[in-house]
Amino acid sequence: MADLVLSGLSRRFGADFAVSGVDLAVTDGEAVVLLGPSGCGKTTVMRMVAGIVTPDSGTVAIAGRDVTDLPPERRNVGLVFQSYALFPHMTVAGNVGFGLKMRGVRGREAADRVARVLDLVELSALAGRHPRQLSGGQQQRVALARALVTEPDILLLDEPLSNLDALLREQLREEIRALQRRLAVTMLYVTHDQKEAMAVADRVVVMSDGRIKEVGRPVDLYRRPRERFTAEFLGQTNIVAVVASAGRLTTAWGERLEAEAAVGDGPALVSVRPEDIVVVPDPDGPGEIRHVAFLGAEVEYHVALPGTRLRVRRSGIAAGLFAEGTRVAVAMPERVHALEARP
Amino acid sequence: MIGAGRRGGSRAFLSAGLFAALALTLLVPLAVGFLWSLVDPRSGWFAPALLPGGLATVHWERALASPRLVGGVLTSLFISTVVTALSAAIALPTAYALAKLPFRFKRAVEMFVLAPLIVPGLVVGIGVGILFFRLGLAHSVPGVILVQTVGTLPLMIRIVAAAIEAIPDDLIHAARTLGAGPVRVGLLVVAPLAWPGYVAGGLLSFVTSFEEFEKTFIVGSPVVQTLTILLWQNLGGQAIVFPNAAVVTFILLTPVLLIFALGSWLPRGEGALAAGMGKL
Ligand SMILES: Nc1ncnc2c1ncn2[C@@H]1O[C@H](COP(=O)(O)OP(=O)(O)OP(=O)(O)O)[C@@H](O)[C@H]1O
Ligand SMILES: [Mg+2]
Repeated sequence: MADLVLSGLSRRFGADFAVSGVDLAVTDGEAVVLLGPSGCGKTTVMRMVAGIVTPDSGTVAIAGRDVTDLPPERRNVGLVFQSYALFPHMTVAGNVGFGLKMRGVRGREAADRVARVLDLVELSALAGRHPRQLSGGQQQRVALARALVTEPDILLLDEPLSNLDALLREQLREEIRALQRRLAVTMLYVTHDQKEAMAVADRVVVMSDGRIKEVGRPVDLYRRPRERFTAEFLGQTNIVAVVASAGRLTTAWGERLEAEAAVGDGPALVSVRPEDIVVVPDPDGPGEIRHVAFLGAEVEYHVALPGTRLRVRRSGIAAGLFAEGTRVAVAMPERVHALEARP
Repeated sequence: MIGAGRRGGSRAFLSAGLFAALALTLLVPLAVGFLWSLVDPRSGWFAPALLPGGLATVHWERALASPRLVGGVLTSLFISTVVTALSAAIALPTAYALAKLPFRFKRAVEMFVLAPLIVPGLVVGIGVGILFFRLGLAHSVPGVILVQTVGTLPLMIRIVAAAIEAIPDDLIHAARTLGAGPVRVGLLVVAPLAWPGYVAGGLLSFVTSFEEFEKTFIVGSPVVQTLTILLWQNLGGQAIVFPNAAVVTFILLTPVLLIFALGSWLPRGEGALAAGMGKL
């Protein structure tokens, strides 16, 4: 168990930076998720931590030791791949025991440790099978067991659930989270699914174009993002233009809002989540419902207002279901969050 | 259910067709050849007779009685074994580099390595023969081994490279992070997974070397007498003598059949052969 410090990590492929100036400190036992759109450099960061890709500049330190120049086999990290990457010519037990064999752990002790970790991922019954005889979820559990059995300093997971169906994905992400807590292993987890990120993370690192955009606890990044990119990438949001004056914010349709934190006078942008807005039918209201999507657990409305269009989500039978063309009054939350960026 | 039944029916039809084709192209010529090898020279075999006038083992006796034949078999076995081992040893690093390492002019190197597959053996043989003559390698077993390796190496590299290429990088990376250095990754992950390619490449190399004539003749003759060379001499000189040719065919076919029997008997060998051949 150990901490992980990345400083000024950069890597180019050809002329383009895949990763550029990444600084990140993961504390001992913490679960940090790298989140960002496809191609933003998440995998490359992870591979540099594992030692599969060498950085052009910057350093990787594990447990206070600079490992930048060490090959993967001398870093003591456990890596779980989206493709599972199980050895097809070995049984489940053979796969899980591979890392122990490489470390010279043999015989009784090796067998015990393999059995214990297989028990942990609830696969004891399948120890003698080959990977091709397992389902996707089982294969991913074997991969997890294989990465954990050697008690790595850092557990690295690169989109471990992307090849699984939605139901299994939710179940397995909870298992991974519980296991990580229980073993108190430092974890770096890559995904481009924002829900998965928030469910698994102590802290989320939002990346874009090879750079870190913002780092924070899921609830902070969701409710109080600094960057517009973060607000839009983590869930859905409405970016509303307002004018700030003496701490009061006025929307284009004349509604007055209060800012959560002090905002300097002039034009500003606020991020309001669709589920925080209430619409009620009102023939004299400023808005008109242009689009209704019934999604089961919730209903999504697109509401046209002077100068803007809002996305609104209501859930529960009590919230009602309004038809397209209904005129509505719009109630924004009492206090709203202003982004750092100005229009 | 009906659909499944009909598909089963068409599958049976298809395999019947394939077996018929196999019989026509392989078994019928072999059967005819076998009869030819047993034709009694006193009665002969002339059209339109469907079967020879009489059967005799005289052609077999004459061929097998030749004292040089045993020597030829031993020479051939020795040369083919060394050629196969040499090809395998050289192919592993070359194939790994072609399959997994990025480097400049990769395509050019690939073409160069595979060129002997395309250039006729006679051309290679004469070119190499002249060179070997100058180097003092002509008319020697090492010379024959080298010139045959030139022929078998591309096959071996091609098949082993394809097998290595099919191993996902993630597997190699996983092994590395689990504590295996490059050598152990090679032995414990790459070699077992590329094994089918090795079996197929090795068997093909062996057979190719065993049956090789042009290059062996140019470089080795008349000092190095492999089985193939001896048997060619036995064909009849000016014009082909069918009974002799038939005996030659069967003697040459024996190692091939043995090799493929061995291939199917080795662990996972059968799949290996099919997979390896698919990669040709
Ligand atoms: N081996 C490589 N050779 C060339 N370019 C590469 C290589 N690996 C990554 N890249 C490039 O670097 C950039 C970042 O890639 P990376 O795989 O780190 O993205 P990612 O965030 O993991 O994306 P995804 O969510 O699709 O997995 C991409 O533009 C990619 O094309
Ligand atoms: Mg990736």
